[in-house]
Amino acid sequence: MKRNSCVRLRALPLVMAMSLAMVLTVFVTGCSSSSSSSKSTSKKASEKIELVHKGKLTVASDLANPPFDYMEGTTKKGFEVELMDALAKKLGLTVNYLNPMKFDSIIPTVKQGGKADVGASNFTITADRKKEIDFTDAYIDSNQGIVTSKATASSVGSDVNVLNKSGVTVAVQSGTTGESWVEENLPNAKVVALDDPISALSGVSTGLYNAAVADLPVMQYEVKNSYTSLSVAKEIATGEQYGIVVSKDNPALTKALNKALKQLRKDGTLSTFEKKWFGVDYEAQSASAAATSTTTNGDAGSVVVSKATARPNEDGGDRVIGGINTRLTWEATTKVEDGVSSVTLKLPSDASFEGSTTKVTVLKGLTRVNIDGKATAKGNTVTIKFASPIPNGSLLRLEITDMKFPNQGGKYQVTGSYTTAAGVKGTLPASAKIKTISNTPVQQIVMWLDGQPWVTAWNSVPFLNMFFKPQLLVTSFVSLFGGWVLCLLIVVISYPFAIALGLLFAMMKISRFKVLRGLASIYINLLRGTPLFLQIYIMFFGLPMIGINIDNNVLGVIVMAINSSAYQAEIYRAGILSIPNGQYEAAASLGMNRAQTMFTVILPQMVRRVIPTVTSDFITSYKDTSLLSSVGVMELMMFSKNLTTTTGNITPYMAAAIYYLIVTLPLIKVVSIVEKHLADAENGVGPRPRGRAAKRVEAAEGEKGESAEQDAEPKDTSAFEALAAPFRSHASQEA
Amino acid sequence: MKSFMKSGAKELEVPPAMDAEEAARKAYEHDQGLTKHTFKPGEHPIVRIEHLNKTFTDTPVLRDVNLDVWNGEIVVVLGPSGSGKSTMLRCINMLETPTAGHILIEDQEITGSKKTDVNKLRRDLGMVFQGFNLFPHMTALENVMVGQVKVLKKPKEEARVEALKQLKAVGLADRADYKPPQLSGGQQQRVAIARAVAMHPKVILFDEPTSALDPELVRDVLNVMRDLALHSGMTMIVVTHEMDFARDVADRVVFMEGGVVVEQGLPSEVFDHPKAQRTKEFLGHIR
Ligand SMILES: Nc1ncnc2c1ncn2[C@@H]1O[C@H](COP(=O)(O)OP(=O)(O)O)[C@@H](O)[C@H]1O
Ligand SMILES: [Mg+2]
Repeated sequence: MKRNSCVRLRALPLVMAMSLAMVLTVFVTGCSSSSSSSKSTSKKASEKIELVHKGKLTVASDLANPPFDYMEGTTKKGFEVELMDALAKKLGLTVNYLNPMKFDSIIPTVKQGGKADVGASNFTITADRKKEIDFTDAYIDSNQGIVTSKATASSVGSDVNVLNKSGVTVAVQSGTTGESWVEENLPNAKVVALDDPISALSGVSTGLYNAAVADLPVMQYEVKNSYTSLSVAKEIATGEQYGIVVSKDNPALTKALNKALKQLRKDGTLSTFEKKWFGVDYEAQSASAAATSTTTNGDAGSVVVSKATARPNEDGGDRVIGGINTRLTWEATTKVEDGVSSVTLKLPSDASFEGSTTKVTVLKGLTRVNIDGKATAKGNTVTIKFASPIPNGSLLRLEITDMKFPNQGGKYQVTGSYTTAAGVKGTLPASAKIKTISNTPVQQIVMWLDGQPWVTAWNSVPFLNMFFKPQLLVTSFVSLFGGWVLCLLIVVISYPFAIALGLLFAMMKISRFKVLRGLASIYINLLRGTPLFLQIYIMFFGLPMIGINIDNNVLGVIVMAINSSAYQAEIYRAGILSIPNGQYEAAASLGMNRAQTMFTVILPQMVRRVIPTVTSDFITSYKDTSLLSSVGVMELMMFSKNLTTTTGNITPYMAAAIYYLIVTLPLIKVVSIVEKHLADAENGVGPRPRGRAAKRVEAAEGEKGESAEQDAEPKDTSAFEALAAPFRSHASQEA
Repeated sequence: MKSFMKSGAKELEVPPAMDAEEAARKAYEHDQGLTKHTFKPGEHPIVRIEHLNKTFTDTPVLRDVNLDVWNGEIVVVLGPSGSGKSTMLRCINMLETPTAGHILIEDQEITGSKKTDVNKLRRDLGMVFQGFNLFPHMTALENVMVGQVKVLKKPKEEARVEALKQLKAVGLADRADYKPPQLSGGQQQRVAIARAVAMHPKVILFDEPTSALDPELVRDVLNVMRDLALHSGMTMIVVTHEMDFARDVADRVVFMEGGVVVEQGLPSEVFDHPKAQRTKEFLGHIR
């Protein structure tokens, strides 16, 4: 079985095309993990807990969400950290935290197996994620919070729509509920998706972003303890729940953790932790919220529909951030004294709820009321029966994923009905119109792929599914396109500036004036001596602090240009120094002045010599644009990171790799061709112009091309002095 | 470089440049019988070298060189390697700064002239290097045109006509569109000569123009130089080891050794009846 899958893999043209060492390494691990997972599948029947290290529960986390999980010096702290300890104790294990990893890599790590048993890092339980991994039962309820500067907090608090404007930038943690919320509720604002909530807060405090949306408890903690100039402007009742991530291959572990969780809830440990870390006992709150229901009076009351939004059909553009599946979000406030026992939502007949998943959230204020719902889809209607009636005055949110809007798109209104606990029927007022766009051919290809047996077979191989899931590859290519174009634009626009600046500083560095040489040295050494990442951070967070606000993309261009210019200055300087002294002397003996010598004799030769090095630098710059994703520039890596975070699958990164290679491979080829041409030209082997007598004469005269290149008079002057003599400070000119 | 000047100036004290009339009179007397070139009483030498000293770090390379060159004269400088011949040419062309002494072109002192004058003065001086130093990114034609266009500000068409004329004169009209790496050494050197001549300098300096060439390529270059010497009327100072060329073409032969002019005179005198012991040894050694 294992052998078979490997052989099949090797035959794949796509994999052949990506014959990178990186991919090959992964390929090997992929094969081995496929064998281990097939082993575990066979053990599934025996319900045995699989652990990476015997006697240990290995946990992957980003440890960057105080007060849930964070590092204080080298010790791990937080609510979640203590919870994991307690859970492990119940299972008779000790906890082993891996080094902090990036949020987007946690789910793939757990899924692939072999490194971590569980992931715990404020993971909101979502349908998208559930496709890749299992969640334990929720261990805490949460909401989102909008943080702004203290000055704007009250205006945002009274109306979030002040943020729903172009020119407003809102930072979120990529792939989180907060991101989806901003996408759906602040469609006019620009969303910047970052790795962790802390960078989002840093950005708001420096003025780079107008607001940040992230998990409310984290925001409250940070605003109180670290970012005291900011405040939580508004709490967004999402009623989301956090769960622990476990591999689908390890159901026994999920089961055991759920059991332990139940015990901890029962014996009050969970409440103790909550009181310790949040000062609030959420467990007691939700219990009391649930208890406030029902006295029958037979009145239908009313249901006020407050919201109906959708992530419409796949459009491949940047709206895709935060998820790739269609989703309908419907919210209403119930004013029914008896409580609502079921709700039926209806869309026009060409839409369909078949095959959809419904998530029910009931909130009283910010407190979640745990009420399960059972959804039955039937064509264009879906009926949700609640396990217990929805109490009067609750906010009911229904999130229906994977429902289908018609391919041609259009505007839709949600209508429907509800039934009270007393059995009285009421009609739901029609929602606001939801605009959906038509399904792209891409989405139709994906739908077609979904139905292909070979795709199912392919995806059953864990490695192939993880790195080359066909459906995701197709959608990734489309979603990443915009990011790729931005990468190219950034590097292509920044490059002429980098060249110009590089030349300027190269000239300064060989100038006669000490001040100019010193300035150039400082500039070049500072930029070459520090990581680009740091320069990006300083520029993005630093400039707004001193009151300079530049568009992120423009700032990206500026940073890339400045960084690259330092490297190019050195390339040009070396190129200029490599021009033999005889060239300066020949120019001088014709009476050329310094500028004429530079521009007609030295620079044209230098340019030829540096083309390969500069092209290599261009390749580096192009790849380095990926670092801009850390400050929220919507480039290639940003899109792939988002897709990977929401899907827990590596395929989007593979698509990104292909996008990088599309540009870099031809350029690498160009470099080698140019290098060969240059070598030929220096050796005098280059093509000769057509000339009748040419061949004969040459044969008679023989060759001695090389001597032209070298200064035939040997003198023990260094290259620098050689240059300095005619250009920097000509002796006779100084007299 | 400044430090050379300072240390040199401290060690060496030379008299100021002579008055033009007095220098012309002295040169007239001194050079009588030393050159085939004819010059009239009252004529001024085109190049005057007085008490020229050049010290590199602590090594004296030129020690009190005195030489006058007349308009239209062909002077061949001989001497063993390291005797300072190139340094002298480079001082004349301002590629080196003398430590002390004076160089005057048409009675105008070039040593110690201001920066802005240097490039202007250089237009009157052409130079042909041992290593050709053609611009490898330009065709032969462009090499010959570039100085005329950039420095003399000639219109391109005019420069092209002149360049083609000079390339034809050196026998390379059919190589106008070749780039230097595609040409043989001999062809490159001839292009370099065309490039210098196209600027119509008053004096053209040759620094061992054939030394880097394979023997079979030397003849063509020498023929071009001979042609130039006989027909152009240009003043030429030629450093070379080609004795036959010196004997045939030179108006005067100057023998240098150890940074001093050891002997000078008519080619026949110097070659057949050398006076100084060093000259005898050198010529004997060469043969
Ligand atoms: N730039 C320089 N720095 C130091 N020494 C030099 C330099 N140029 C020439 N020399 C020395 O000066 C002496 C004369 O050199 P050169 O004029 O080239 O002699 P020639 O041309 O007669 O062979 C040699 O000893 C040489 O090493
Ligand atoms: Mg020499």
